[in-house]
Amino acid sequence: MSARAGMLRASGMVVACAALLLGRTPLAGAAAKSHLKVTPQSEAAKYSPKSDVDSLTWVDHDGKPIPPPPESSDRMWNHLIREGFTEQVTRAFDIPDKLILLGDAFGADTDREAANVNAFDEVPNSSWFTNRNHLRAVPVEEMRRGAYPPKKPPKPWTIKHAKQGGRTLGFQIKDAEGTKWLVKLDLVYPQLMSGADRIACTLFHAAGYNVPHNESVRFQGEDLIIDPDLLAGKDGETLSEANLDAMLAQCARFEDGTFSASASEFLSGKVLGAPNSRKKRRGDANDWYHHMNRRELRGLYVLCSWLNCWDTKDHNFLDTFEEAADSTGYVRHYFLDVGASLGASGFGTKSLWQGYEYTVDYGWIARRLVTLGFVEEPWRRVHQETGIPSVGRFTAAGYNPDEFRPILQNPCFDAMTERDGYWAAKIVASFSDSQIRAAVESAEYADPAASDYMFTTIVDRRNKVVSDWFKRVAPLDFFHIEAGDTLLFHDLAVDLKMENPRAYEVRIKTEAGGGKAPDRLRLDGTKLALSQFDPGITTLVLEIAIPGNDAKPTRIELRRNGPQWAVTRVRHG
Amino acid sequence: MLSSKALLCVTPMVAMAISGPARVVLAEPRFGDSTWVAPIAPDSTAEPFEEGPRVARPDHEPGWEAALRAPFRIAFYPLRLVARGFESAGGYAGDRFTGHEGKKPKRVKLALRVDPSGLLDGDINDIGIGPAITILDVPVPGTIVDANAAWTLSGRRQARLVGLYADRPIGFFTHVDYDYKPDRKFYGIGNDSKQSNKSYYVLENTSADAGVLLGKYPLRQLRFVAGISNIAPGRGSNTSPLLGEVFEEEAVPFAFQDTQEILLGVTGDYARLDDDRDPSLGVHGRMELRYAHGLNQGDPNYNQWHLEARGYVPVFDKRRVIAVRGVYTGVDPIEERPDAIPFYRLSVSEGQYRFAGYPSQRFRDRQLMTGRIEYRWLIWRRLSAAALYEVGEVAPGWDRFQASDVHTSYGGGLRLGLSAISAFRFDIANGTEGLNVILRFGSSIL
Repeated sequence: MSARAGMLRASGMVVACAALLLGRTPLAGAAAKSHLKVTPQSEAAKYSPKSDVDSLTWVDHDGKPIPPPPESSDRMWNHLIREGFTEQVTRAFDIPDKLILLGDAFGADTDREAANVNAFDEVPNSSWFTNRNHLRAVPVEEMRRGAYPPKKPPKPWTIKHAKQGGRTLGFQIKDAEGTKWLVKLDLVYPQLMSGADRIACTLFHAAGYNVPHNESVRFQGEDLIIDPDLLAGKDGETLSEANLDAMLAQCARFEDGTFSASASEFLSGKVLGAPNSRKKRRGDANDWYHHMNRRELRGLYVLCSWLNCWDTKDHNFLDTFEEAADSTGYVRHYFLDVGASLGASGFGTKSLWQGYEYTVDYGWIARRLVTLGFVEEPWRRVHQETGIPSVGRFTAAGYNPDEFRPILQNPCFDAMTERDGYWAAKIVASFSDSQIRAAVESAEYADPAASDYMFTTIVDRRNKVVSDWFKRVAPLDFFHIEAGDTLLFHDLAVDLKMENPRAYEVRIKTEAGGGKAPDRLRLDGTKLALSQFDPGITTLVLEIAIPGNDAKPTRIELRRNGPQWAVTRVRHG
Repeated sequence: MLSSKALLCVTPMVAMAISGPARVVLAEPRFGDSTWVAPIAPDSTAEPFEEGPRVARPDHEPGWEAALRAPFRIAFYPLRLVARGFESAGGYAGDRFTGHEGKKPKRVKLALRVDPSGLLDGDINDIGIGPAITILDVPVPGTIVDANAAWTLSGRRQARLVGLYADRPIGFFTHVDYDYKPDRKFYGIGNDSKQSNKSYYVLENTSADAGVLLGKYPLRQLRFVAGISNIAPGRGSNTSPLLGEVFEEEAVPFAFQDTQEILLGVTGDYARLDDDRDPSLGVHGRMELRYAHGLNQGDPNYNQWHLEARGYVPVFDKRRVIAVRGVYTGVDPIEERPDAIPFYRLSVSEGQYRFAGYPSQRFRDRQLMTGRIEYRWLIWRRLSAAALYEVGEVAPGWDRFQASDVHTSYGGGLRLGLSAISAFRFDIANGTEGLNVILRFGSSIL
């Protein structure tokens, strides 16, 4: 028996026993069953997606062992044409969509909420996402070192391949210890792309996403050795000294003559290619939810808006198959290539329109056409030039979180509801100034002005994102019970000192025949004594709103079990 | 109200998990500080690959939505397949044109090439396909040799060999062309030729030339050229009526006679532009002078010339441009007589000389003038929309041009600058004879 199987068996037993003791029937049954069925199992049952479902879970166990799924065959250009053209045209003529919109106009609730949300309106940990900063702050020191413990590729570097895919310049190397890295060169200015990449990686990781281990690196021409096979042109691929010199000639240099680049350590596991944002991965029995219905992918819009991470096409995500000893394993999902963030692109400074318009933005094309070119787009109005070469075009002045547009229409972003947006804004809000300062420091900018500017701008943009979303959805969160009968919660806007302590209006519903309760209550703080309700009442539904505020209220469902109350469900907006 | 199913999920364990003593709210908690622990943060650090429940059942489209969409999905399935095919073709083509980093550069490239030259003549359906071979760096580095052949939908047959060595201040070029055009149009000669006299003939053109380039950059370059040309008009065509059925053969100079000529000439470009691909400010002049010497008895000797000027002015911003263009081109016989120039060597309103609101080859005479003003504004990345007004006229001599006889066109279109010397243009323009659509890959954006 493998160590992992043993661990699974042991954990199954523990959960089963604990649940049985505590009377938790459904999970107890499942866990006990899993213990009894560890071996032997038929192949079909082993890989079946049927599994117990528990909306209260904090871990969505989507890593059950499966055989390796096939690699995705979607070419990047297929994707670009599909999302940039055919899907847009299809959507324009989609009659059912229009009928649904009509239903919307008449008050029908046609929003499809995200599928992978637990009872507390949170996204459980999964192979896509791990709850980090908004539940447990990442220590500042960890932020300063980046998403992973610091480890730069030791020199010399042996170039094994020129960079494949994408249009940026770079190469694949093996460092002096034999570890493989992908090196992407900074063009135009040192640290422009690599600095943005490092900051964005650190922040996305702290937010909860899986990112690769990227390092901002410096090197000299003498640190590079071209692999003899590559030099000889074996396998139809070649890189001569002259080709390398030509490539390096385009690379940005520091004042001391060293080159600037970003080095990304190869991911463990077998590469399966990009996930399709509209679908589930074929052959992955754990992939239960259409990707566009995953909250962490929908809410990514808000984080990308904050960090101006405008290149979110499918091919900037990557799935890997994490294989176990018995050749089964599970699929892990990464968010890659976040160098096209903040003020940078893979080619240097980002274009003015990037982050404000889709590559093919039919709305803006139509507006420019009918106005004979006299319409003023937001990206023209906003002064984006910073005058700091390693920052590029990045600003907080004139930034409107809702005006952010990625390079390509993203079905996940299009599907985002207010609940998803609020959840993501809460994560953005969770980053303190000191954490952001540390994330910026992880980029090790040579120019102190770049560090200062980045810090100020990211903080200002955070404040705008948070302020925007907390006005739309009441930021009342982290509901919990104290001493069995007191409901406590946090007003995140007050926590962040964006608002003074304020009052709340509570609308109350109870089950029929359970006892009398007032319809409304006014709270002067973030505390509600549940002892005031009739002991016959066993369920409560509270809708907490902020008086004089248009923000959508928060709905909480509570259940009494003897003298103890429990929060059973939270829904924002 | 809570559903009974939801209530069943509630257990004391959950209550503890939510409100238990492990959730200690830290002193002076501030959301986002590195000391922050949310009160509902789970103790468990369980990994997704461990045994445990899922958060929800697999998602699916709601039944009502599936029912609503089903008939449309069935009805539009063929279109969906077409779209997928389009995407796949785009994916294939995109991969071929990008992502070549590190690939061994091929000195010899073989391909099946689509030839859009029929489009340049204004026939939107006339696209050809044929083999092409490109050889790089032979005989000397920096040389490009390209040979291609194409057969178009209308039966046009074309073969071409191009050699270019232009990456130096002094360069060389050579062209060898064979072009069989079965659907050439002839409306008569003169500015008042009638649209109803449209007729067809065949033209077979064989030519070869070579020259020297002075200047590396095409927009500031002088070219000396020498060549030989044979043009043979023919009676047949895929379309009717034929030229001989509409016009008296005697009334059409060199109606069905071949001519062979040696050509000697000089051409040049000079531009001062703020942006060579999408100019918004500046001027561009082009001049071509050629002397043609007939090789056989009866073949004419003549001078051929082309003068062109373009100007660009921004309207408050370089994304809005007013552009003007004037062209004066013609042929002058060395020995003056009424039928001195073969009808197929006269200036014709086609290609770069086409009048926007009129069909290709609609007017021909010894001299041709055209002037255009257009307002161009950027609508997407490098794609501009344009509104245009154009006048054009042909005449037997410069003193025969009459302002009252000009053919006017107005319309609009799209422009896409591809490089300093190539642009895609799409126009819809109206003249006195109706609406015309022009799709053109030209040498400049205007």
